[in-house]
Amino acid sequence: MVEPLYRQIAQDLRQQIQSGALAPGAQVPTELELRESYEASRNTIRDAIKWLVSNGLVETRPGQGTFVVERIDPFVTTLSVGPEAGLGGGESVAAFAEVRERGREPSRKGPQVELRAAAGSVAWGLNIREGDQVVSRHWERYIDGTPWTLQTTFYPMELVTRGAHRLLMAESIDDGGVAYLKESLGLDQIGYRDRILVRTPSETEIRFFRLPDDGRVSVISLLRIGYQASDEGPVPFRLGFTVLPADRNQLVVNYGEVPRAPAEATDPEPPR
Amino acid sequence: MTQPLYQQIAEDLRGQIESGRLAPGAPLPTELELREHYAASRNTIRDAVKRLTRLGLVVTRPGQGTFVLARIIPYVTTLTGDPQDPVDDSAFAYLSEVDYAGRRGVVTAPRIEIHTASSDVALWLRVVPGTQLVIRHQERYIDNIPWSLHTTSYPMRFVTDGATSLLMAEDMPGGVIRYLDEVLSIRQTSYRDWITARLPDASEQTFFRIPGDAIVFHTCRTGFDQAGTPMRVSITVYPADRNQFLVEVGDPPSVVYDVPAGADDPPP
Repeated sequence: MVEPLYRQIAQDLRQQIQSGALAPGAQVPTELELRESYEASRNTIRDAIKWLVSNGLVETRPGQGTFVVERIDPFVTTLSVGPEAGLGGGESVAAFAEVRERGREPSRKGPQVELRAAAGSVAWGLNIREGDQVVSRHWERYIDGTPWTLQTTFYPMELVTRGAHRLLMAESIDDGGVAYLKESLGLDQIGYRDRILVRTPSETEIRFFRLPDDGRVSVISLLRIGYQASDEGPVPFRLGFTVLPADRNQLVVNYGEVPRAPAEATDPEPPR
Repeated sequence: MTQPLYQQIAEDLRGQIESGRLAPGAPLPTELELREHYAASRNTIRDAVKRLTRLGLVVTRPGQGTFVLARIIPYVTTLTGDPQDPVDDSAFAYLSEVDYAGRRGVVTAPRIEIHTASSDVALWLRVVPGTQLVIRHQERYIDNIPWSLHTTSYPMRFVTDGATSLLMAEDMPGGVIRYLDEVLSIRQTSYRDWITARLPDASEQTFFRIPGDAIVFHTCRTGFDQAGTPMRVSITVYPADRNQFLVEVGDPPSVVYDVPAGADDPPP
């Protein structure tokens, strides 16, 4: 099967981008130049460019031309770690180690701790009454200095009154909230559920993540509810909202004993 | 730092759309009305509306005006199911699940193709590039709306070893995974999903009827057999405006379907 000409041209340009011959931010040759160098029609060149645009490799700026997109090297987060692991609302330093292991530099700001009355999604997610007191812990996370995720975890105030006082402290809980609640209250997380969706970013998110103003980049929204056992079955005890821009985040879910990737193939990009 | 006026106007209109004061399908006030209301220039109003268009909140119909877009009711797929559950690869099982959620699903008969493995699929299936692969491709619809595109690759040796039904262009009600277990004793015991969000290509835009700047989920599932060998690679493409996923670890309570609107947005 011979590939259509526009695909061959697109592949050739893609290789130039990936090899660095066309550097990030550089202008792609004009339509006329491409028509001449590939001896192709205008429509073929346009289709090739369209393919590159839809694959996120180049962007067309009205009145200026076509440019190689400055890619942010994505970071892959694994969602399915055992429930007993210290996934304390992402607060644990274990998450830091994972970033460093891949040769990248993590940093964060926070936590911003707030007390408020549960309303709407928080009351629903924690299965408490509207107006019940909750503690929220908010973190801004960065990788290599680039804003990476925004994370807010809510806990019922009842956990604090029962003795988990550090939830109120505006300082890191290095082992993570789950490990801390186990240690302070003997609370066991028996499982959690994540809901994943993509939505348009809010104005605050556009500003924080420095997303392009044209709405081109969406954000992945991850809602995690952690459960403990009770006589009436599993009940929620923490609710986490994580916002991850889609241009720099990928997610992995493992089920069962997934073999590690072979050494020569660490984290390949998934096939198209 | 003050925001440019067009952003402030866009934000205000967006608030009205999200609160429902401007309902789905309703026309946005005309350019003239907006200019008067916000005491802004024509270009500022145009920039504000353009921003809402790009965010997928409104659509401009030439000669008619600008309208608030209706939201499609999303369908939620659980990623962490039993590796033997046929819902993953049987139209029959999938449709009963959609039916259970009170929706109406349609799955096209699989289209079967034989390809030589490209280098990236070969890497994931851990076969030599050029290896023959059987590819089963299906389109799924919910409530008459194109919902997802599924493409699964299996090594051709499954067929030569006796799993000849892989080549049949018809649904396997029990699912391909169970079939491979029955015929070849190759049992899927684990899998990895790799989830990215990206822009749709031209054929996806046509099939899903979405604009080029819409976002699709691109999930790549690699299934492993009891020996830890990859046995299939499934690529599924889901438009992000109508699909959500669940990941379950441990023993959370069974799924609640009536998630309130806005439950996924962090409170301000």
